[in-house]
Formats: sequence, C-alpha cells, structure tokens
Amino acid sequence: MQGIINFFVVFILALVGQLLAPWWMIALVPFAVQFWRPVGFLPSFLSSFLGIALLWLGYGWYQHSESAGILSERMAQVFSLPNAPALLAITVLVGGLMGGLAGLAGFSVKNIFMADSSR
Amino acid sequence: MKLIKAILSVGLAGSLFFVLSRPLGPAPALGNFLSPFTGFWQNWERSYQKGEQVHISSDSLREQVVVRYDDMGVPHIFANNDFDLFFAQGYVTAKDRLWQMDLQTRAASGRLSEVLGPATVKLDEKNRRMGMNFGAESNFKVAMSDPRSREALLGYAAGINAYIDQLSPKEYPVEYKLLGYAPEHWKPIYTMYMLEQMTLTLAGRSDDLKMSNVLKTYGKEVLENLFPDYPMFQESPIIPVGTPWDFKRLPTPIPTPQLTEADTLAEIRAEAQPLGAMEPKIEGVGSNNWAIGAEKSLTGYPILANDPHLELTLPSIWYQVQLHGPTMNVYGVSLPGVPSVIIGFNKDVAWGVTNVDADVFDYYKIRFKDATQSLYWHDNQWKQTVTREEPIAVKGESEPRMLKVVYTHHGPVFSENDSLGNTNYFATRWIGREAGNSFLTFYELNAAKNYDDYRSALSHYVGPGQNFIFADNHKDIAITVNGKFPLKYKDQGKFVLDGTNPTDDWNDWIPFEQNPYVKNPPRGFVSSANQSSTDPSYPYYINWEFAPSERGIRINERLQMMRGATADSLRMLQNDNYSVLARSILPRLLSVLKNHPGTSSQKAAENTLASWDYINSAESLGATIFENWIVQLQAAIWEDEFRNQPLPLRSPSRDRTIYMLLNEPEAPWFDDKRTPDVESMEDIVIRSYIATINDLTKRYGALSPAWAWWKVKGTEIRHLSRQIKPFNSGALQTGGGSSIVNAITSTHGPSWRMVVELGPKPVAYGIYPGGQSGNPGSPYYLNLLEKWEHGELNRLLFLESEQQQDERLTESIIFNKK
Repeated sequence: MQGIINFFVVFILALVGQLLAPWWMIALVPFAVQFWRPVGFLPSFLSSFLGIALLWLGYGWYQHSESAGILSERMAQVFSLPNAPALLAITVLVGGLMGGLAGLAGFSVKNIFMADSSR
Repeated sequence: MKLIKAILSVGLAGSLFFVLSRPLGPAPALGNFLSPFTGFWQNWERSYQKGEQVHISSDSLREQVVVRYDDMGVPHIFANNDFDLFFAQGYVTAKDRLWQMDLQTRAASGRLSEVLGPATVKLDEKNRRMGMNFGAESNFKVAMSDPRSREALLGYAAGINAYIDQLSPKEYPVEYKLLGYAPEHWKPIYTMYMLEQMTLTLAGRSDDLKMSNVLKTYGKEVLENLFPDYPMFQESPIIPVGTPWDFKRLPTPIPTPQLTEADTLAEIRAEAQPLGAMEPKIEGVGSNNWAIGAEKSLTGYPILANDPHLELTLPSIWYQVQLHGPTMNVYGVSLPGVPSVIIGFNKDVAWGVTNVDADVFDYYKIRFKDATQSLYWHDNQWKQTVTREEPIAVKGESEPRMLKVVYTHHGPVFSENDSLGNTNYFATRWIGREAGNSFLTFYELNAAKNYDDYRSALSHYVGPGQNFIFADNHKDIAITVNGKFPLKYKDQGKFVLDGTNPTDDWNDWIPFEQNPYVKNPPRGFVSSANQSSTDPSYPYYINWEFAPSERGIRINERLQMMRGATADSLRMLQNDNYSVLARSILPRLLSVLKNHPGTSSQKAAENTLASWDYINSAESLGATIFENWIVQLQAAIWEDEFRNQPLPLRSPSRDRTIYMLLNEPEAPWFDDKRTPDVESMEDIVIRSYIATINDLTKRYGALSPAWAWWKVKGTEIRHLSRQIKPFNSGALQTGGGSSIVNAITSTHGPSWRMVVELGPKPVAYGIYPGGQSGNPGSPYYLNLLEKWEHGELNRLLFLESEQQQDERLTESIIFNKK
C-alpha cells in the first residue's frame, strides 16, 4: 500500500518537476521520495521504476501519436530501430531504470539511519 | 551490511546517471535526449491553424509588425519601417531555420570545430586561409557605414536574437540536441559570412595551377589548341551576337611576362593542398534564367523565369518570404542569414540570377626574402607582409589552436612542397575579399519600379558575379553580366601569375557601365545558363572558359520559337529534358558502332540508343547508356595524357572533345599511349562503349527497366548534416542531367524554380525541393518536394496589403513594442 502511494507521489512530483527543471528530476524525485517515505528495497525500486516509466510512456506516446510519428519515426531510424514504438520502449526502459535505481538508492541511504525492523 | 547496500545502490544509480548525462561517442547525452519532456520527442510541430494569433512583444521594436502565414508556411511580413521589417524577417527565418543559419555561418567563419571537435579543424583552417574572415570584416565595415544596410543588419540580428532568447532548451532545434550544444546570439557580421559562403560556392575555385601544369607539360601550341578561349564546336553566348559595345573602351594592361615557363611552377605534388587548390570546378553549380518580351507572351507583358542550380540540401538553401515595408512590397526567396529577398518580384518588376563564373580567383607565385615570410619581392622592392592570427577553438580542447595566415597585398599565402624538396609560396587574389556593399543591390531591387532602378541597383554589386535578368510591367526586359570584374589582359589568370610583377596585379576594374548587358534585344528574349558571357568581340577578358553551352543552346532555341507563351510554357522549359549533347555527338558515335560486330547485349543497347529520342526522362534507358558512355569516352580519350600524370593536369573541355570527334578524327590524342598499339578514334569509341555496357550490366543486370535513368542517376536530397540519413529525402524519380536544362544531377539541381508573369498585377509561381521549415518534425519540412519532383509549381500568394483577405492565409504573429 505504501509502495503504491509512493508510486503516485513519484509520478506526480516527477511530472511537475520535469515541466520546470531538466531531465535529472527523474533521478532526484525518486531518490527524495523514497528517502522521505521508506517502503523497503523492492517496493522502492518498483514504485520508482513504474512512476517514471509510466510517466515517460504516457507523455512520449502522446508526443508520438499527436505528431503522427513525423519525427519519432525518423529518430527511430537514426538509432537503427525498426519503428518509433521500439524507440519509445527503450526510452521508457532508460527512464524507468534511472528512476528505479535512484529510488532504490534513496531508500538504502535512509535505511542506514533507520532502526532495525522486519525490513 | 546496510552501508554496503547503500553504497552499492547509490553507486549503481550514480553510474547510470553518469552514463546518461554525457555524450556517448557520436550519440548525444541520452538522459536529456530521450526525455519526452526535454528531448527530441518535443521537436514536432503542428501545421498553422486558420485564424490563430500569436502575440510577441519585444523592446527592440519601434512599432507593431504583423506576420501572416499562408498554407505553405510562407511568412508575409508587414512593417512600418525597415528596422522592424528586417527584425521580423530575422525572427521568422530563425524560427524555421536556426540551425542551418548557425551551421553555415560557423562553416564560413571557420568555427565549426568549436562545436564539432577536431574532425572539422582542416575545414576551418581552409576557410580561414581563404580569408573569409578578412572579407567578411571588410564588407561589414562598408555595410555599417550606410544607413540602409546598417538598419537591415541590426534589425535582422535583433530579430534572430529575440527568437533565440525566448527559446527554452527543450525547444532547441533537434540538431542542437543531437550535437549537444546550444544556440548562441547572432552577430550582425554573420550576414557577411553567409555572403562569403555564397561567393566561395560560386566563385571560389580556379584551375590556374593545373593550367600552368598543362603549359609546362605540353607547351604553348598544344595548350592553345586544346584549351581555346572560346568554344570551338558550339556556343550561344548570353549577350546576343551582334550587340554593339557602344562605350569608350579603356586600355587593357599589357602583359610583361617575367616568369619563364620552366620557372612558372616547380613540380607541384598532388598531396598536401592546404587550400584544396586542385579541387575541380563542380559541374552542376550553375543556373538558368530567361525573360520573354511582351510580343512573345499571351499576356502582352513580359514573363520571367529563374532556376538557380546548387547543391540540393534539406533544409533548402532558400527561404520564401514576402516583405511589405514603407519602401517595398516584394516576394521571393531569401538566404537564411541575409536580410532582403535575393530572387523575386514586386508589383512592377521581377529579377533573377545565374552564376557568371568570371575569373576572379587567381594564384600568384610569391618570393619571400627569408623563412620569416615578413618581406616579399614586388615591383623591384621588398614589401612587408601582414600576419593575421586565427584562433580556432576546438571542442574538448582547453586552448584554441592558433593559425597564422600571412597576407601579401594580393591576399593570404599558402605553401606547397615540390618534388625537389623546395617550398613554393602562392598568394591568392579573390573577389570574396573585396570590400563592397552587395546587399544594397538586393535592397534596391526589392524596391525597384523600372529598368533604371534595376541598373542603379546593380551598380553596387561586387560579387560573386551574376547574370541579373530583369523584366518589368513597362514591358522592358534586360540582362546584365554583373559584378566587379578586374580589368585584365587577355588570359590574365588562366595560369599562375607572377607575384613580383605589378602588371600581373588586379590594377583596375571594368567600369560597371561597360559590363556586358542588353536591353530589349530584337530577338524578343534574354537568357543565360552560365555559358560564355559574350562572343569574342567584347573588348575585355572576363574568363577564358565558362560552363558548357548545351543548356544555353536549348533554351535559346526554344525561346526563339516561342509565341503566345504563358507561365506554363516557361515552366515546361524549366523541365525540358532534351539533350543537345546527344544530338551533337550521338549520331557520329552510332555511325562508328554500326561497323562493329558486338555481342547481343551490346547490340541491344545500341538499338536502344539508336531509337532514343535524346530526352533524359526519368524512365529513359537511352539516357542512362549515353550519359555513362560520354563520361567513359572522355576518360578514354584523355586519361592517358591528362590524368594520373606527375603533375595534376586538367583535361580539355567537353566542347573541345566533341569538336575533335567530329572534325579531327586523325588527332594523335585518340591513341592510348599506355598500349603498344596505335588506337584510332573508332577504336576508342568502341572500346569505351564496351566498357560502358559491361559496367552497367555489372551494376544493374541485363538491359531492363532497372537501367532507368532516375535509378542510375540516384538523385537524393541530403540533410545539411550529411550524416543523419533519415532526415534525407529518399530517392527521387527525376530526369534531367548536368547538360540538360532540367539540370538535376545526383546531388545538384534547381534549388528554386520561379516563373513570374508581369502585368498590372504580377502572377507568380515557384517551388523548391523541401519546405519552409528546417525541422524534420514539421509538416513543412518536405511538403513542397513531391510537386518539385513532378516539375510542378505553386502559385505564390502575393498580398497587396496587410488587410487583404485570402482563403490561403492561416496563422498570424503580432509583434508589439514592449
């Protein structure tokens, strides 16, 4: 449950953060959120991964479909990929992984200062 | 344990962050680039929406400016003063073409390496050795001293910078994101760099060194025979034969040759060419223009056409715009980076340009006193050189690389090591470094109302020399071979000149009034296609060789016949694929083949050629065979004597070759010296034919539609980066060729086609291969390409006033003073 809340918090703060600041908000936001609301190793990774991945998937897909792929299809060729959805998949994976690892790092740093519990 | 986990996970996240935040080889930093919030995903654009208004305010502006876009994305600008007019032109051009402007000015000023790294240092050095900076600086000084050009340059720069200043990083053009740098402010001098770049493209090459080598290798007699000063076989000069030269001619300088032939040049090696001196002139850089008089047109007014042939790129080298200000209302194409319209029309007049190819790039052999290069011998005394320091910033290097360029009064010096180990020094004299205010020519043409305005506008022009064609609604037509041309003795600059001898200097200029021109000639039309400016009766030397004559001949033949012509008649002539070259030589070649028993595939190809209509259509097989054969044939004739020689040489021209094939079949040049046999003209014709068929068969299989001319020619329009293939046009199905009026080669061709019917109200058509926008994510990136490929033109929307309504109008930008 706490993990699901963290997912939403990551999603919303990363959305706002990226509208205002550079791309590295996808690392800073999950790190801070998981530090602030510790939920365990796996939940912090997953909620951060999904928070960023779904955000990038949604916005990336919007850009792609609204433009009818006019640029994304060309960019896919630049990266020697078969089509834009493949490029979007890579985009989402890269973003998700960065978010996930940053979230994991945020939790594990917090974890040092936490009293031992079942976690 | 907790600590180790924390260190591990922070390390992992940190590593990925590190990888994503810096460029990976040629790829940009992926974090920023892939982010849908900041990266390339952002770089698409919608088409302009009808009725939508965008408001922008700037404190640079003096009054309100209105920009109205039409359905092709062309901006129509309405301003109350010149500063605001050019401010808006700068703004909208940057909006569509910012990276192109950045790249081209960087290239011209030798600043590519600053963003591209060590790979482009050689190119930067070359452009600095050419003295492009020197030229831009001298021209800028002159421009800033005239209120009209000053206002235009400052307004234009302010507009570009207003656009750059409101960009957020996520809005940077996708090329900046790919290359990982940010746009910088535009300086007014950059306009001069754009003009330098154009001068370099159109007048920045010379065969002087190779010609001196020919002289040295074969002597004067052979040289005069094989490299005549006027085409021997056929020509149809720009200024009609018989046009009187009714001016008092100036005395031309008398040569006092001091260099003996042996001394002209020591052995120059082909390698180590810091200036690219041996770069051959590119065939395909040329253009067509013509205007027919009222008596030939259906409208009762003149009609004018122009199609400048340049390297075809995406985005296009041209940018369409309409400028409506207090002194002008003009529509046409501009060069991104240069305020005003370069080729276009207004209510009263239309004009266009083709390249003259004057001899305005000369090499001088320099004698230095010693290795310090501080003194050189000229006019029987030692003179002081000037050294320019050229710092070249290189991406990834903390200190700029310093390049020292030594200048004599001729121009910058470069050196060459000869085969004996001696170092030779050459200075170049080049029109690109000549100070002047060519901008005023275009500024005044934009506002011109009649023939006198046209002539007055042209008098300001320096270079690159252009054939300015003109027509107006007073029913005048004219053409002027225009530019600042040095007053030379005959053939001064055909060979390397003597840098110590003042007679070899550019001592004076042909007066503007004496440049070749003609107004309302009896034949009822004027035209040019880069061929000889005049016949040999013109009293001054402009160049010894111009572009081959075939396009000009075809254009003049068709215009001669034309009656009751409309814009569409001229459009069809722009797309004319008839090969005058084939008509001239193919019957002769086929008569040789007839007696040769070939293989079945050779005979099949021969039959195709025999039934070919001389039309280089896209689907033609005959065109493919002929075009390949003529190249192989010329190589087969001249290769043994003029290529791969100890000294780099130039081969004789196509015209001279055809003359020899038709009239001098016994010429010793036909013999291939590399074989023990003595070959005849027939042997060489047959041999090159067999080689051509073998070669085509190897590449495309047996004779079939796979040999279609468009497939073999392989025209594709490349993105300016030349690297990002998915931004290219893809293969285009076009006919034409380098000797064809429709001059589309694999890389070059009509970069803008325009036809204007003059009259009470002008009716104009135009197209270029590409679109208004340089953004591959814009609906206006390639929207004009298909029509261009099919040889069609768009009606150009010429608005008379800001209020005029038209269903083709879409969005507006309203610029307000802050």
